[in-house]
Amino acid sequence: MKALRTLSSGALIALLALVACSSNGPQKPASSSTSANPSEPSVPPPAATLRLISQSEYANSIAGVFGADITVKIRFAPVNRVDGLLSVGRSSAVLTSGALDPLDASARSIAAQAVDPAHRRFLIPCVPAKIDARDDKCARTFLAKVGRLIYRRPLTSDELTRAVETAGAAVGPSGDFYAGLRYTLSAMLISPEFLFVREMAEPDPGRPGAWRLDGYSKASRLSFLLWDSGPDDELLNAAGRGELHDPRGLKRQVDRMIGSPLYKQGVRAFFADFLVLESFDTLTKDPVIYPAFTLKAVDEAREQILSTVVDHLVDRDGDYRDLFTTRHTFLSSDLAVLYRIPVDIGSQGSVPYEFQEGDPRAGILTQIGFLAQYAHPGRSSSTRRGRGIREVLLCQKVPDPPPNVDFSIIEDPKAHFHTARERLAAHQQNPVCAGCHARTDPIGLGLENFDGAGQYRTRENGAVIDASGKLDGNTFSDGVGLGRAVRESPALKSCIVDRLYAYSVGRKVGPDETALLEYYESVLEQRGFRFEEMLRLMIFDRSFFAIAAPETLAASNNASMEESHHAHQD
Amino acid sequence: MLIKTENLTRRHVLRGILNGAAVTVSLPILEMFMNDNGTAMAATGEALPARFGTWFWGLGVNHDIFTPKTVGPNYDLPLQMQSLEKVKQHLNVFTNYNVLTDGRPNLCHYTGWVALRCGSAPSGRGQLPGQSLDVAIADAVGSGTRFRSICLTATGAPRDSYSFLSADAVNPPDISAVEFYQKMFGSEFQDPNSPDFKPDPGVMMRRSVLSGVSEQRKQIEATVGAADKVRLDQYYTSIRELENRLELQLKKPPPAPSCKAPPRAPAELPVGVDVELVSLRHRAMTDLLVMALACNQSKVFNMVYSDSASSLTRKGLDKTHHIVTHEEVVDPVKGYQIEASRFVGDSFKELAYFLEKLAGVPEGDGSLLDHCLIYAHSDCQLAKTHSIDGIPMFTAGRLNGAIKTGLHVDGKGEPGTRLGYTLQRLMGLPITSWGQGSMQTSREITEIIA
Amino acid sequence: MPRRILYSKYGYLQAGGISMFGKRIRRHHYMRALLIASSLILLGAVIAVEADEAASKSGETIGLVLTDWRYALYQTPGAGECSLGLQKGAVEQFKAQDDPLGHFKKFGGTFETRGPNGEDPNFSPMLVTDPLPFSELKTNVGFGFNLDGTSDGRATSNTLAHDKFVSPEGERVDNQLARVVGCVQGWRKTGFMAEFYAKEVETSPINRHLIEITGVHDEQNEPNVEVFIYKGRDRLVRNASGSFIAFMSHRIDERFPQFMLKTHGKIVDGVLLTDPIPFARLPLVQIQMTGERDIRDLRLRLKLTPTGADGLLGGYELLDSWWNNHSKSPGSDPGLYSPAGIYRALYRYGDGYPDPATGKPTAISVAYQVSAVRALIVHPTHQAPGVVVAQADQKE
Repeated sequence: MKALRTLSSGALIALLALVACSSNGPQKPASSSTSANPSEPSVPPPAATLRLISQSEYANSIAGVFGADITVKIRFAPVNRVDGLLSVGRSSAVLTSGALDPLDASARSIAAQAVDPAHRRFLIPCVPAKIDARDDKCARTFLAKVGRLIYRRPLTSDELTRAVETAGAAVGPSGDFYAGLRYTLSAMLISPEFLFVREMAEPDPGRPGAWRLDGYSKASRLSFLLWDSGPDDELLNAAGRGELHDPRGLKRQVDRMIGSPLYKQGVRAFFADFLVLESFDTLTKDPVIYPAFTLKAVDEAREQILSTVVDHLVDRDGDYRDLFTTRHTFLSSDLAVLYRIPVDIGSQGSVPYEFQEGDPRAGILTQIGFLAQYAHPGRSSSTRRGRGIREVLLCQKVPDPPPNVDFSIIEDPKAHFHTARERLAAHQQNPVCAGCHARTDPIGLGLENFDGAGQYRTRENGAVIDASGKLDGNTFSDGVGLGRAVRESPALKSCIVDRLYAYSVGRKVGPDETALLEYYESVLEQRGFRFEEMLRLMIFDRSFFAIAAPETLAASNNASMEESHHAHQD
Repeated sequence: MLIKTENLTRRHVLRGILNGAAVTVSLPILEMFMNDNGTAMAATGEALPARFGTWFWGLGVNHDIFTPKTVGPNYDLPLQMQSLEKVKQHLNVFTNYNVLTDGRPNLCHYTGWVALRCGSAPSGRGQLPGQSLDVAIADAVGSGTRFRSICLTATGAPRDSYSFLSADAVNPPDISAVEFYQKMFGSEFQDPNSPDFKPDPGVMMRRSVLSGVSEQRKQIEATVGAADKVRLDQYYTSIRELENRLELQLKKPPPAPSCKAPPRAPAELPVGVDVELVSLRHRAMTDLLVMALACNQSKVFNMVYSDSASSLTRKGLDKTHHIVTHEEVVDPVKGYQIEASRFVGDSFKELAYFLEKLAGVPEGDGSLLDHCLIYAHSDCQLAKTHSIDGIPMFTAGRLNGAIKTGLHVDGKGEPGTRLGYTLQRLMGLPITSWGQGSMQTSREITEIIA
Repeated sequence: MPRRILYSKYGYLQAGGISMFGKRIRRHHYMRALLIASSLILLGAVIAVEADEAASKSGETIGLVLTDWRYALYQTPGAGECSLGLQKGAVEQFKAQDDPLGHFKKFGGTFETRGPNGEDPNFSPMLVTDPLPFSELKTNVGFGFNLDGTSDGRATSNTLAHDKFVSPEGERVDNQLARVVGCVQGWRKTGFMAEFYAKEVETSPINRHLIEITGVHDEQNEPNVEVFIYKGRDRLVRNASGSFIAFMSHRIDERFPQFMLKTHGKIVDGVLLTDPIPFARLPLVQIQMTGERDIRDLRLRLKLTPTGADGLLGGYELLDSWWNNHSKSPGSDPGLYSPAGIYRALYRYGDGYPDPATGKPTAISVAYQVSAVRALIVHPTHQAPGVVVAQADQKE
């Protein structure tokens, strides 16, 4: 690095930019579609994680425990997005005071609702002998039942005894049995056993020396993946009986969970994370330039993406790649204004809609949501759209622009650029810019028939728009063609496999696991990339629940001279 | 510089190494510092505890119309600082202080503010190589009030916060004035001037219940790895802070003569970063913040006016402030970008409002602002080139007379961490240096020390 | 391309000419029913597509939804166009009566009980006399249409003699209702009734007026268009700057065939002009009272813009409907008028369709100033609920 210091900073930056853009990152071999029986590689088991619960997992779990009419009003502190997913960031997230405060307020609010007169009749399975005295028997019955659902495992006898004692002691000062339950519940809901998903390992009897997630940890992993919620009673029962360790027992539960209406909730949660839909919370457009882009339209645009995804991947059991070419979608009243399509529906809800052959729109890249998300407040952005496609959908990093870019060409008031294509031509002419912008602009220019709010147009500033472009050698002439090119991109497949896997295990995917992901990709190459197929392939894989020996045990084993339990590295 | 008794740390921070990972564990309040009034000072009759705040605006300034031509006191107020005229007496302005990256890339709209907040340039986007100085200061002076620190963002965007322990522990900001009102002055607010005070038995119950949560700590931590244990430690620290807060609520709060809780929440504002809307949100939040400080709800506060890549917009403009800084032509006559500098002007109008509001609350022999030390800065100097040399910085407030005001200090190319170091020392942190690599410094800016 | 479903001449609407699910599905097998249902839907879609293509050959459609509706009045800030300034309100008239205090002691109330035996002037206007005179509109500038076809307002077979106004374009127009309400503060811009009603136009689905112009090839000049008026049911939305959002979907409220109207028209230099509709009924809620407008020879003149339209709607409004709409709502106190004076003025100025027996007018010429934004008019798709057969009853 010392040698590089002698270069001027400008040259250094230019050099770094070129170097950065010319490398594509670690190269993955293109999946071979000719290999008939790819053999599954074995990978070293990963360490257990301690993952912070997400806002939707929290709300859904509460609904599962206490019923959907319990009001949960909370906004979680933002979590670092790691490797494209908040789910991965949660495995290293920290609860600062500022982040814990709203959780405390929420815990107390939920506890108060659960024991109020309206809810106690059906949530609490017993009635105390006296309403103003402690009743340990009733408290024990209730707290054992609800604590198991909250902690996602049975309470230990120690925990239960302590909880009953707290509930009883709290009756005195308040003179109310239910207040005692309320305080205890609020403690449970602020406990790390609820707020963090803690993976527990146990020795795997089927593979001596190896470890597996215990039954309750398996239940949590399955439930958060498939339902975006904590395990229900039946899943916990299956875990308790050891059925999740048995392939048939596991399949029974997975079939049940995928067949449940809550499965759609799980699918939505994955795509909300993967497609970075959090940006819709703060998405606004200039009201003068795009007056129809109301807050309700923003909500509806976000919902359109998720409805399309769920309809395609769940109801139609479609191939993931076809999300970028499907003409089936849903429209709502305010969103339809931006599409200029009439809808026979009032202000709430949505109607199914199918774009016709020849329509300029097909696939989610031509939906208002995507187009507006990756654009400026008052105009479109080919660079942002191209970058969004690269980074989110193809898992390809696009480097940041260098600090001192020369915008003088665009700034020239005599330039009279009509279209974005003309403005961005400058990116291609300047060698400092061309390296990175060649990776983004030719893609995004395919979407130029859609303005910054996603509305269709054929002209910009009077000039006819040319929406031709290319994606890694595949050329197209409009947004529909771009969707087809994305559909055919090899990176699309490896990216969804990578992301779905990382999401399902809730942590960063290590370099040792690359071979496993390539294996999954090659299997799916033959079977097709239907979402349920992808999930089952991963869940039923022998490595899904494998876990490394616990750190503390490994440390003590390393320290001891015994050899009988040392962990294998398969 | 003497460490004044009022700034003795009530919370000592253990730093250690565990399996190669730095560990921070906070010890609870040392009861010996607490007296009936809840302040270390009341026994000695000295002034109210000092407060520390930060104020951030994105996308810097335009040097030619920002940098005063003279240094020292009575500096000429340049064009871009005109809206700060009324608060000039409270300010110090610092120019020509640099951020040095030691070869790490200058990450646009990132490296600058990261370095000025935690003392070190990051090596990659998303990386935060240390905790921000307001966190260190809150550790030292933040206990004893209901909230350890307050974070606000006028943009209303949940990720706009520059107060952090690490990349995984960014202090979340309040994004709505209405929610902030509920938090400060809602049902759990205890009016310090209320004649009758009765400890709420519910609060006592909550406290004892929370201590039950902490009881399971050992069992749980025994089952997780070293890195996760550190995260759980932070969780338990947060629980302990919650308990301490409840403990405070059981004691009669010290009187606060200027405290007058607003009777109702402000009007709800829609989502959006239009510059007029941001101004409304900023002012609504500032009004509440000032009263929260007057009511001793916290001693540390952070306000973000615009995010580091300023996504602020103006009606009818198709691009954000950020894009304007890159695409707008430099006016040949004026020599700067007119539209971009309008946004800077708006930022300083808001800073002026912020400071005037603080200065408008009488406290002791002066104003609330006189007992504050505020650190205001941006992410770069000239947004067009993302220059991190000469990032503009201000201090505001007199910190009980510990700091001089009304000065223009020329940094002569020194690292900008000199200011952050000075401020932490003024707030009583027992540190002897701050920052890493070329940003490491042990030299205070003596010109401003009284 | 908006989907279009064909409709019958009489304004009733059916889906694509096929009555779906009209017949009970004979074979009860679920899958077969599903197959039939889907093929019908496809067929309907095909017909809709064909209708689309047919429509494009015969031109595009312009849809509008009214966003504002008020009297088209010539008014100046000082009300110099009114002989005695603005009308005196009902309370002031009461105070000018003989012995108002005695009247009050006997009957209670003030403006509500002005009749000799405490009658409400709204219901018994002829029993009440106004001590203070009615302020007359003395300008000859006005807005409206030349409804009677004359240049001087002489009597015709359908109209009574009256004075015309001269419009800013120099046309001689009929707007006798302006003489009745033009000096009433409440009906002028910023007045109580004008703005209250404007809000009701914005918010009430009863006041949702849709206009559909078909056969448009050139929005500037089109010699022959068809114009339909419907009652809608969907909401108007304002954007962040306060203007109404254009191109929202507006469903036709098919429950009210009586409010479905049709006429011919033309577009000349961007202005739509329609042929008169002999008798038009329009839904109304005005100052919280539900009623109905009845207008004979209703016509429109609307200047079209890319996102909306502005202009006039006029004709001969039936006097009894008009009086019914206005007399029941609490307007006279804040609106500053006397019902007794208004009623008399109504019949004094009425110029339309005199009753052959009595010679009295049954209608009065009127012009309303209306604004609109573009809308996507949605014709409902009819799907009568099918007959559901229980699982156990299904036979193959």
